[in-house]
Amino acid sequence: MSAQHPGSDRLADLLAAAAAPARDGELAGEQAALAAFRNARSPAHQPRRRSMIETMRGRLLTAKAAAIAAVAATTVGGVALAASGSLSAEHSAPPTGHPAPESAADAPPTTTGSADARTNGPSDRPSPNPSLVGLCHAYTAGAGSDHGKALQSPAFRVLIDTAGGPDRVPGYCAGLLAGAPGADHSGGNGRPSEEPNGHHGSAPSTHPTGRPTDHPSH
Amino acid sequence: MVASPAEGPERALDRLARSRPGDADLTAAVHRARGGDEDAFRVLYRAVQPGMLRYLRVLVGDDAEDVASETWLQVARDVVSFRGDADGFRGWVATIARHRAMDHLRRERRRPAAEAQDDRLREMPGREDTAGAALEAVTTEAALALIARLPTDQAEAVLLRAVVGLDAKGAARVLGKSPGAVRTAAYRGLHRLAEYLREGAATPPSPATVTQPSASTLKGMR
Repeated sequence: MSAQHPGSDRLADLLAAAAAPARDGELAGEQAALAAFRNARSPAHQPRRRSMIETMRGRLLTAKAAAIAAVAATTVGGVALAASGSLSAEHSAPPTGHPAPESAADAPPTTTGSADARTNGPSDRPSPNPSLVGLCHAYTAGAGSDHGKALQSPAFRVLIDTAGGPDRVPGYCAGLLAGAPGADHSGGNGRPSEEPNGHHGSAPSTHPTGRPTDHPSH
Repeated sequence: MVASPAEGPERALDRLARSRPGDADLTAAVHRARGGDEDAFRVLYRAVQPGMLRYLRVLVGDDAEDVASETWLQVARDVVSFRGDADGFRGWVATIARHRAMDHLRRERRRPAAEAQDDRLREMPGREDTAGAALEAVTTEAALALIARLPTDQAEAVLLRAVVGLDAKGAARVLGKSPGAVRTAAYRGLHRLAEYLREGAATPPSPATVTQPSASTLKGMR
C-alpha cells in the first residue's frame, strides 16, 4: 500500500470494497439454499408427494395384475380367464411367486429420486409405468399358456395400447422387464428445461455446467 | 499522477488475489457437501454467495436475489455430481448463475430493452455520485455501481476476477472466451475504472455516459 501510485491504490480500494465481506441481507437466502440442499438429498420429500396419485393408481392396477397373474399361473391350458368375468374365485389366492409387481409399485419414488423441486413440473411421462410392469409380469407369468386369450382381458387393454397391438406385447414386455423395475430410466429426469444450462457456448467438460445429474442420489 | 498503465491495475488484482483466504477449507467443504453434509453446504453458501450476488446485481439489477435463489436450487441439486476444487466450484456456480441471468434477461426482453436497462441502472444507488463517493469511503455498493458503468464484457471480467475470485482461466471458462480475451477485458475495465476515479475528482459523470455502455448488456453477454 505504498503511496507511490495513488490512482492504483484507489483502484485497489475500490476492488477491495467490491469484494468486501458479506453485508447485511446478502446471506438472506441461506435457509432456502439449505432447504433445497436437504430436499435434493432426501428423495422421500417432494417427488413422493407429487406422484402420490400415480403411485396409488399403480398400486390398484398392480393389485389387479397380481390377481390376474395368480389366475394365469394356476390356469391350465389357457382358459379364457378374464372372459369369465369372475376373478373372485381366485381372488384370495396368494400370487404364486410374483412379488415383483408389488415392488414395482414402490418404484416411482426411487426412479425420480434426484429430481429437483423446480423442474419436477410436467414430466409425468411414467418412466416404466409401474402398472405396465405389473401387467407385463402378469402377462409373462402365463408363459406357456394362451397369451392370446389372456390379452382379451380388459385389464390388458392399456398394455396392448401402449405396446401398439396384441402381437407386439411380448416384445414390449421383454424390453420393459429387461430394463425393468427400479433404478432404470432415471435418464427421464434430464428434461428439456435443463438444456439451457448445458448448452451455452463452450462450457467445457471440466465445468459440469448444470448438467442434470445422471444418477439418482444414493 | 497517472500510474504507469502497465502496472497499476494488474497490481490491484494481484493484491486482491493474495488476500483471498482458505481455499483448502473450501475444497474440503466441496467434498463434504457432495457427500450430503449440510454444514459443509452452508460453508459453501457463505463463501460463494456474496460475490455471486454482486456479480448478478450488475447483470440483472434488482432481480439478483431471485436469480441467486434459482442458482442455489440448481447447485443444491447438482453438487453431488460436481467434480473439482474450490476454484472449480466457484467457477461452476458462477457459470450456473450467469446462465440463469441470461435466461432472466431473455424473459425480460419482452419488455422494451431501454426500459429494462433503465430499471437495471435505476436500482443502482446514487450512480451519479458513485465516482465522488468512491473517492471518500468506498462502499461496496458504490464500487459495484462504478463497475456497472463499464461495458458489459469488461464489467464481467472485472467482477469474475476481483469479486467472484476466479483467475483468468476460470473466468474465461465462465464467459466462454479465451483467457487472453478475459485478461484484455479485465485490463481495459480496470483502466477505465481508474479513469472514472480520476474523473470523479474533477466532474461527476453525466447521465449520458452512464447509460451508454450498458445499452448492449444482453448482446455483450453472448
